[in-house]
Amino acid sequence: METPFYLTNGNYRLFCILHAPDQIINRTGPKGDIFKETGVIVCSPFAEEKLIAHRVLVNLARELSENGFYCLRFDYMGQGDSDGKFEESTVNTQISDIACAIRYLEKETAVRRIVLLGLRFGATLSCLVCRNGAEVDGLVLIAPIINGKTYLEQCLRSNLATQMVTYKKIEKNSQQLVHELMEGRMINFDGYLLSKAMYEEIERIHLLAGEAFSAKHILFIEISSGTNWAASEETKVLYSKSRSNSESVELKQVSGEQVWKDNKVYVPRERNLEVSILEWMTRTYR
Amino acid sequence: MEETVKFENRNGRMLFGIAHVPEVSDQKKNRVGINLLNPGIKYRVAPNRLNVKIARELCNQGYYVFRFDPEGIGDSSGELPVGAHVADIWGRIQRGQFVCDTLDANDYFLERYKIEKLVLLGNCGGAITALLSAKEDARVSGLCLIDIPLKLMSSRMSFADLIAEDGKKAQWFFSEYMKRLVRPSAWYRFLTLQSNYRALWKTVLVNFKGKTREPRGKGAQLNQINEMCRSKQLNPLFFRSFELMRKRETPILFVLAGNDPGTEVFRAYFERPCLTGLEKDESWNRRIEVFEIEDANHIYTLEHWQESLIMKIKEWVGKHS
Repeated sequence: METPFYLTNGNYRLFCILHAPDQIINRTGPKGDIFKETGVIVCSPFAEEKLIAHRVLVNLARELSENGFYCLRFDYMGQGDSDGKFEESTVNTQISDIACAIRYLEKETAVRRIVLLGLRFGATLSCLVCRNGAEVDGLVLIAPIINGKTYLEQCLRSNLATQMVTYKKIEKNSQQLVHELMEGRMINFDGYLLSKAMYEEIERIHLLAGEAFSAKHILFIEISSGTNWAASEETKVLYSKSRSNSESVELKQVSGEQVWKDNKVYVPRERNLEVSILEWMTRTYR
Repeated sequence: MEETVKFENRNGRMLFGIAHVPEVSDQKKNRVGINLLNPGIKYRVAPNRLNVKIARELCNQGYYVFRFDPEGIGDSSGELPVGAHVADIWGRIQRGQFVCDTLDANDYFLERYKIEKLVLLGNCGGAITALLSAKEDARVSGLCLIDIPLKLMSSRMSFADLIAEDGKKAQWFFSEYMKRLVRPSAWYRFLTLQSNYRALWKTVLVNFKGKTREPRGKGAQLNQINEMCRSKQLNPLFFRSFELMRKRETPILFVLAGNDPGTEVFRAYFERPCLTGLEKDESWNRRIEVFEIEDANHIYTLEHWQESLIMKIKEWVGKHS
């Protein structure tokens, strides 16, 4: 069953949909405790990538709930149908939104174990939530953004592309855009206004540096439709680093479409991705 | 205030939506409701979150606004054909794929919120769905159509099929191809079967064929329209639905993005043949308006384009509600 609702986080509301499983999975642990089923929180990618990947995440959530897992999807403040403007959001507000979703799921469904399932920047945020000390049992990290600075360079390139198409030339290059940002103006990328606060917070992110994040069980997924490809070096290093802090860490290379990008072919679900995640979830949590 | 909504369509599928309900003090005397339709295969939020922004601005003006996902889109149940070419799905939308769901959404919206006056608003796929739905629903009292596509999309089309034959875009493409004549890499692509030969042939043909003879006059004749649809791969349902709206005297706002290839197509194959000469009719002028936002792209990426669009929509809805 799917229930849409609004969740209050501070002075704004987050749009959410809860996918409740038809069958409740209970398991008696070694001490006789009854463990409720595991709850999954989907942490969406950033801005327009979320719009493109939306239906894939909906079908993924449906697949998980049909297999006995609670699944909560939500829009960050300033995105989707949640309150607020995108330019008012920051990395910290997004982390706060995920934490609010965790509290909700634990309180309203009596779920005992939380898995954060993040795509792209959503995967990055999931790691940061763990770094902040949230009690997260599992992480599914699909194509995580490891280096915030590199990611911002990609975002700026999309602004330059818009300038080329509109004005037939680059009126402001990346350096000029960043300079204006630092002076208080905002940068438009793909129709979203990036604030100085958001820019600086993303720029500081590097999952390979600083404090480690940990969860009991971690699944890294890299996805590509190419025939001869390998996970990026950064992902491999992050995978290796994570092994020392976790009970189980896996890295899967999935053949499929990069569902956060527009395709000529309609991709409402990526079966290989669903199968990989479901297989891991079932093996780890049943 | 925003409310989450679930309702069943005629196929028994559950559709999701958001209703924007104005604060009591903002409510107009007549309950005016705007059903804001999703663009193409994108869900109710729309690129750049544009539909959310439009909905919230209109709600602040005192209008009820409804945004929903048709079957197979967004959070709604059902599924569109997996693996289909996106352009073919667009073509199906242009032929009315989402009309039934829109009519069902209209039923729900009108009943649930006691709407007295209904406007349909949409961008691109949402615009053509709005027009085709209005043809089937006499309750629709106004249409706001943003970048309505005239060319009937399919996976067989190249970019050269999407432009007006004697427009600036066609001239630009031709000049770009001419520049490639002196590039060895372009010749390599041509000789190794990597070029888009269909687009190349079409671009060259259009340039040497000369200016197209469009039907003109005080509303082009039906057989001329049919011939134009056939030869230019236009959507005949667009013209038939517009004709019915014209007879019903339904107010329509056409908004065009200046930098969208579809704008030249609109002007060449609809505005000039069908609307020219009618502007002398005062009642026509009050009802049909064409508004262009200079330089804007199809999804209104930049904030000043979005502001112009929203301001125009608010002004038009205010005038016709």
